[in-house]
Amino acid sequence: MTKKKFIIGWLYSDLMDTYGDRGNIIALKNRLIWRGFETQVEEITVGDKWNDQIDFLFMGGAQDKAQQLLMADLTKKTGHLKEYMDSGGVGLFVCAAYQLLGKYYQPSAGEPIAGLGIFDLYTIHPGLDKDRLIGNVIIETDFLSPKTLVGFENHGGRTILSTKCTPLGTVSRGFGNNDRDKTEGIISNNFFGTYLHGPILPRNPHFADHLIKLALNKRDCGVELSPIDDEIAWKAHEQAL
Amino acid sequence: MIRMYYFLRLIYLCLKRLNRSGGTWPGHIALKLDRHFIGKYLSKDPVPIILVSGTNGKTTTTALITHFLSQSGHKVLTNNSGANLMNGLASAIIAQGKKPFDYVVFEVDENVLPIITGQIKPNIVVLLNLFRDQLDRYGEIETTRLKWLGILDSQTTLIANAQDPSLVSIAQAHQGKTIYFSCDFESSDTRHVALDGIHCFKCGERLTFKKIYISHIGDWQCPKCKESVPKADFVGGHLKVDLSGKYNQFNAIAALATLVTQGFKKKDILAQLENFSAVFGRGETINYKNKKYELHLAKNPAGFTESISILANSPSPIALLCLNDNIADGRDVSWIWDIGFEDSKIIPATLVISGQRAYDLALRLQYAGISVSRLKILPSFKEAIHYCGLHAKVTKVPVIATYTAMLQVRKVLTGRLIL
Repeated sequence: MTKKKFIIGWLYSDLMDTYGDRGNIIALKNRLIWRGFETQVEEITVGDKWNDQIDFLFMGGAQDKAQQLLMADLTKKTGHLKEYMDSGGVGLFVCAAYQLLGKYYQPSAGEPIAGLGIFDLYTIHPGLDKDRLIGNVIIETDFLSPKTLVGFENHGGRTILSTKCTPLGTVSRGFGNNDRDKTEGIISNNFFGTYLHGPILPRNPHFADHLIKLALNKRDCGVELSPIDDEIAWKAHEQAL
Repeated sequence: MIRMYYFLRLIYLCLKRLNRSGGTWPGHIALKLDRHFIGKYLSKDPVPIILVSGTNGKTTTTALITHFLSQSGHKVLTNNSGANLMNGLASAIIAQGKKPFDYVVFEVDENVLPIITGQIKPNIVVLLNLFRDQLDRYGEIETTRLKWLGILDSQTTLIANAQDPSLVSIAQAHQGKTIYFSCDFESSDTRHVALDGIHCFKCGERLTFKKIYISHIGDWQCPKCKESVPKADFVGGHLKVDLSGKYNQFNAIAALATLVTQGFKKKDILAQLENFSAVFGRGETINYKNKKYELHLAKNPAGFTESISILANSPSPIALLCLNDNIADGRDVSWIWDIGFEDSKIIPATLVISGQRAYDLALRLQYAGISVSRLKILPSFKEAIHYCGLHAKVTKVPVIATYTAMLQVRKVLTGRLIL
């Protein structure tokens, strides 16, 4: 079976690209190219139409000013995002993107900002006098082998998941969603939300491949991924443990 | 204040005698005792004061200006080891002691500039650029730009890079005189890497570029309100200076603009530029065990990307790249994914990767398309330099390193941390 082109959709790449988030796109794209897939990265920004052919969706972190600029446009895309998630589409949402897909965000001052309501969670900023949650993070998942995911977090908001939600993992080092319940991130169908920068995919090649497999399973039937020399990635991962 | 000054001078001399560099401790103590120490000291004598700030190029530009002034027989008070926070400036003053000086030339950290201009009225302030730096320390460049708006006295002459839109917004808000510099290069970067400040400061529209040189520095214009690169009083790009890379052409023309504004002849300045040799970690060459190493400091994506252009032209078979994650380097190293490795030619066949986060840097290079067989990962600086020594030829080994890694490389090569 000929391999169809793999399309990576990158939402608001021009406005939401902090902390080297583009490294996630670089990692994913290369892991596909090295296995012989033709890949295309489609940057979707304010005013752009939705693309139905996306195999993987990514949205990253942003500074406050950028977030304001895109909120209106992102809200218009809520229907597409929900449909895409319900049909099993694969997505990775980091930091600000993760927060914006929740029900609301309560800033340190002022009225709560409505999110898209796609993730059943809300985020509260406790005030500028409270410390931000910053540092290296290690979490343990129950669907990856090895279990660990490593990254770096930097956020003021504390995210609370509803009791029905599945977190991405449990925190063994660092804070995660908030400074209390030791959960990190969220998994909703094939949508993954997380606070992990790093960026997350390069040092966690097993997670990157998990996402690729989910995306390929959705359109082809049972694809075997040829192995990649991940020795350096694993050394970097182990060093963080 | 006089008694305190002598007390601090005593501490400084004791530290010096014990063969320690003294660092910024004397200045730190001085400022704890009197917050306005720097302002009070510098307002005693009416000597011209030149301040240099920006994200990249401060040390080199300051060194170029200082080099010319000292070579032409003037005495300069300067902070020459890149200690550009308040305690660094104060320490430089204490180290100067009673020695007279004709000029003050200080490089000043971006966040410290508003503090120092609140205490003194410099004759000239040079603003080189504003790039995305370490986000976990300084946040967005917009934060710095807003801190800089309106801080300059109307008596101060501003010398600014016309091709950096953020700096033009500062100049337009400045009540005093502004002198612009820019550069003209044949080749232009058609790809945007780690672009910041690419929205018009007047109307918020995305800027368009006829030519891009480094990150967002180039021939910009706003398609909506028509703001564009102002005409420059000094245009560089082909100055004869023994420093590689486009950013050093910007540093050189900034230094030239500053010195001409101070009344010196262009001809004399150009002559001194030609015999300038690079300073600490900014292209300086160090000999070690019969091999030569050329050190380049890189602290953020724009600076690192420019340093790589040196690798595109280097005849050396081997190069050394170092990444640390101490506080001064930035604890979060994700910025390495904003470095434009993909679009650069890297001539040296073997890349030795060293430092605390060597594996992260090697991983970045693997994903940039560098074959794993070309990467030699040796986190220990001693081992890495030893390996370079075994494989280097007569050509200089290029070394690119983050701040504390640079200090540690220099320690191996010279036996001393700083100077």
